[in-house]
Amino acid sequence: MTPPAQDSTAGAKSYLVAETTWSSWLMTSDHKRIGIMFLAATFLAMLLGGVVALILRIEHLTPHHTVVDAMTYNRLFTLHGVIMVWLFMIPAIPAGLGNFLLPLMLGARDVAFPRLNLLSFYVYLLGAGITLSAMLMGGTDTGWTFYTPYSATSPTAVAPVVAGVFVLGISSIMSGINFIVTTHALRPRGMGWFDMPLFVWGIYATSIIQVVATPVLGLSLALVVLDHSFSWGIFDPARGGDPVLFEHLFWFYSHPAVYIMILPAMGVISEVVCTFSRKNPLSYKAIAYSSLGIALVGFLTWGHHLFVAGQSAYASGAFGIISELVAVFSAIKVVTWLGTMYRGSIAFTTPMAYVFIFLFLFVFGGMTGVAQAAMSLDVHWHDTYFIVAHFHFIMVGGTLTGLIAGLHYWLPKITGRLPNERVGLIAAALVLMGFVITFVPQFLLGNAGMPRRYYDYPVRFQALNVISTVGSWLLSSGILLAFGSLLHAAFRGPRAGSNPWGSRSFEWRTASPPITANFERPLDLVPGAYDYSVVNPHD
Amino acid sequence: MTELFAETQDGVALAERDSLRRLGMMVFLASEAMLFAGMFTLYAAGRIRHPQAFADGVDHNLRWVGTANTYVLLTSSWCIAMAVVRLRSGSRRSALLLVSATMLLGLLFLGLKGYEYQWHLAEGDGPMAVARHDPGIALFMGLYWLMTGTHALHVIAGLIFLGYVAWRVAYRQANDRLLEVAAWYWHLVDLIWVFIWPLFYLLGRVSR
Amino acid sequence: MSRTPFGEQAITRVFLGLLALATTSLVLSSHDLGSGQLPVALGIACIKATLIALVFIGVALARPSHIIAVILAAVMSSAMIGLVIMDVMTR
Repeated sequence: MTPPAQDSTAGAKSYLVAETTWSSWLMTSDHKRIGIMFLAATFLAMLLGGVVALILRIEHLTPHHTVVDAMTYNRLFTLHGVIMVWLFMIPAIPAGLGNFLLPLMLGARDVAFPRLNLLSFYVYLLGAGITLSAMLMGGTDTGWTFYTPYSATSPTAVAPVVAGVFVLGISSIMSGINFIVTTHALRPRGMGWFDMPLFVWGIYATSIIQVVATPVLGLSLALVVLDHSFSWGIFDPARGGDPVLFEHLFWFYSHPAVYIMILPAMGVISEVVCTFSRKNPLSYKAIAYSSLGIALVGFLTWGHHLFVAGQSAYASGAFGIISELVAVFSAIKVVTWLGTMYRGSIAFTTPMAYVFIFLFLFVFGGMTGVAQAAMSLDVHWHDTYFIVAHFHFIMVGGTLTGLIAGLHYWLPKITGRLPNERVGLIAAALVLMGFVITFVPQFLLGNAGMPRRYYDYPVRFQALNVISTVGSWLLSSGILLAFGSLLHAAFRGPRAGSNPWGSRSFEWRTASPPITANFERPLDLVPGAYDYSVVNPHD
Repeated sequence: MTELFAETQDGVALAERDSLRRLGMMVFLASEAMLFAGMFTLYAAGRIRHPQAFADGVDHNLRWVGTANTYVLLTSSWCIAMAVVRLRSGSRRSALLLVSATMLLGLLFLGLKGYEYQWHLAEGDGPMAVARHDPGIALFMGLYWLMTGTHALHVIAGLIFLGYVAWRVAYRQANDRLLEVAAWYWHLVDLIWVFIWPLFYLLGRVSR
Repeated sequence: MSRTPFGEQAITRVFLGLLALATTSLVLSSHDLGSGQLPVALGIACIKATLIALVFIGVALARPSHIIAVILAAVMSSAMIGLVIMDVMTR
């Protein structure tokens, strides 16, 4: 609830310069500053995970030993997965951009529990510290999925790594609770559910998944530690346990986690498409409900990871059928975005370029997902590079491009400065080219039978592997250029004014960057967040 | 009543902060429930695969302790629910008495639990000895320590929470809404035990 | 969370009901119900849990939108247990 206008907020400084000491950042309860700290931390995680990915690709330049030995290779692909999933992609958009934008989009002063919000950040740092120090002191070779029974017997440092991920889960639940309560209780009077900006729907659906699914991940990880440290054998067939149950519990979280990563990115896409098409969405409700639909159905599809794990054929059939439903909701979203652009007055800016990249890669990756959810095809592709290519199309092609689009789009909101369009478009082109060159060969490799997570491969696979590695250099230079340009613009870019894109969405109805209290006056809900039919009195 | 509508530094009215806490606790309870749902899933799968071993494990457990604890927790739940009603109607004293009763019953629960754990340890069935059992029994004992242990940790957390709220209520720094939120947490602890009781103490092989 | 909260009478009645259900469960556990043993005991437990959730935690009084997470947790935990049981039984 926005406080009534007070004299003290009139002419207040922006949140960036209101206080400048270190402790004013580290001990802040301002959601905007916490959001920025999350963005910075997840950015560092992405750099680290990216460097590891580059080493892995370089290793595959030749069929046998290139730069690292086999054991290091195993530890590196585990490190890459753990960092990218839990340190980068799960928190990046919700806890970073979401933290910054949610209260602004709702016209609120802050999130519901500001101190819990700060605690969530430090719990994240603690989890990241435990995970990374364990990974760097010896690491583990199980892959990010920690499959039993191997993870219960691996001589590597499974327990501390898993404990770190457990702590990260606590941070995730804290943020989720905070965002759910914020969305419910801090909307101003007059803002109904269907008046909220669409990004809020994405964050809300994500938070629900985080809160309901993460405890199950925590449980499965805790049991791996008990199996590993005390030989409980809950997942060990030799002791009467069942390793398939670990996969059930793990994927009960980790499949919905895919939607934790993609739903906020879809929220970003919805905002960017509407703003730069200068149109209301083709169907607001279709986008909002399909977010919830993906969140709900996404909970019931986890068994498609277990098609070759010894799960019964009945269960596999049921999970396969439910999995295909996700494509329906995803398609509704894609069609709605395209319909929104149709006859809009499209501005081809950098965020919009990333929207097109997102649409291309997401549809491509999504279609391969539809194929894989069919059991007979999955048996052929399971545990091959086909899977690797598929989920990188969704995770990198979806989430990462969504994140970069959002960062370009909201940079003026966050810093008050404009990104460089020319550099941004060049970087976008590099990202698209690099991405396609990196991952399309991996589809071909997987289909030809190259398994994932193997150190060596037959010589006949070398040509495609080299192409993929060269692509990874292009992709990473594109990403570095994009982030470098963003960082430069954040400090040196031209001043943006409060609403440089002419958006109608609520977060733009205050100064950019906002004052610490977010709004000087209570948020005016007229015109609606996507109403481009009238002249905006706030411009 | 004026303090209810006072503004905090955050610009959120106190009355509204209560509503935020209630909503937050409701969501948190959902999260906690999922943690235990995962454990019950493991139990279900284990019982289907090792029905005899699980029944033997249940028969081996101290049925009277589990049963006594069931009644202890149910009664404590009634106490705390009554305490909320009393505080809402303004009788702070009676409310504090009921909270104290709740906490005493919680301690009694832990005492009985401790006796039971001690008994298992004396038999050589401690949590570090799970691997020594035959496969099915090992799974049962693993789940027993996991589920009753996690539940006991929640009882301790609930006691700390209740103690903190009672202290705030005693010094007139908290209203019935905060107590209500703490009570909800306590009820969840009771709700979980409602399932643990039959699964670990009642559903044995033979009828007694 | 907008309607009148449950009073002392309602709470005490539910408490007595819970005691009766617990005692029923205890008595039945010493009779051989054959294959009905497990479903009956868990059925009673489900009724007790529902009473605690609806009345003691006050889910029955909450606005529907405020218990989305609770409903989702109930649905998803049933789905998790149900689908895993389906897998284990049909393997």
